[in-house]
Amino acid sequence: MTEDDITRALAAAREDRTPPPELEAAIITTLRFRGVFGGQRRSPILVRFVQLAAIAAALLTGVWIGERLASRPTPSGTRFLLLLYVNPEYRTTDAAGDAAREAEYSAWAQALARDGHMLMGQKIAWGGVELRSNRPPVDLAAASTPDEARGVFVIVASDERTALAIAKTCPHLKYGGRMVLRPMS
Amino acid sequence: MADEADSADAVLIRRFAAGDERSFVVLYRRHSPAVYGLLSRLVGPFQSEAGDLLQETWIRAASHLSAFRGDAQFRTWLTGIALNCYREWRRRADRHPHVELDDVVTLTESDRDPDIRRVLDGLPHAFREILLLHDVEGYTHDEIARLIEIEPGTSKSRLSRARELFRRRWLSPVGADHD
Repeated sequence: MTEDDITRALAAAREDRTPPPELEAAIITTLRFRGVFGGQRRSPILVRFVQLAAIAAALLTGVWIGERLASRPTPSGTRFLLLLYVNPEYRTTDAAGDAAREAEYSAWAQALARDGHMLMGQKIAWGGVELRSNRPPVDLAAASTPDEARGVFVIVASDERTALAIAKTCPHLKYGGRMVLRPMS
Repeated sequence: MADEADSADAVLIRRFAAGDERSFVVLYRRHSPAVYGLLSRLVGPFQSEAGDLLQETWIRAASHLSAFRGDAQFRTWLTGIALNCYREWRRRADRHPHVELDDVVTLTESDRDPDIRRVLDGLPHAFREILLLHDVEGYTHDEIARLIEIEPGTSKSRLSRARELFRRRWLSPVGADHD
């Protein structure tokens, strides 16, 4: 028997199977109980699409910054990690608004870079894997999370108070986005 | 329902995400036979588990519908969720071996080739999985790599070894000692 024989035999074994009829009703009942049907929750696809479109445009700034800052002298001072999250409160906009926000994020980041307060910025791609001890890896693209980090910046400042003041100037806040500032040791 | 039955997946998914039950039913009836068929072959003799796994698959799909980005076929995405459900079930079963006689079925008339079924059921999980996904379901190595989180090269080498073991066991008489 050759490998082709095996392949043909296995391909011929493919067979769709109709699930037990009662299963459909059971699943529908469960989903009704969870409030999936009847417009009891917002369309997550639409919400996600608009959120991603808005934040992708805005955070392209981060990629641009990362490329440009590589050739600048390294700023001195304490480094702080600034993470930008897209959360349910983040206010989305239309295409024209996206362009305006992109310019705004860019101006903010460039000003910080010129003043020696920003070391790098980078967009965080969609998806990824969550790893935990004694648990299987979780595909974040298929997981339900309340918000997700979509941008990372490294701010340089003399102390935490200054870093906080700098972070508060990020336009992400006024659009409802969540940010986390952490000192780097 | 007639309109929905002819609608593309993308349209139905959008409506389902907005809470439309009829769109879910069309999606369910369109894709469940393929996913249920795969799950039935994966669980081997524990056929009653296939229904539970299909139910869990759809519930998770409903919860995570916002994560479906449309850059893969909906069925592929759904199959990925089904595989996750299956693997979690298998890990639980491996930790707590527990066989109920009612769960174990013998070969039925619905099996097109009982020899193939017999050999597949006897293979190690990873080999059965790769043979089913590649040779039976027709997924590419790149798709399998994404589905079960391995490298495409690993998928190829695992398939090669799986085919070799399948060939040896298929040619050996029933009841003969396995490797």
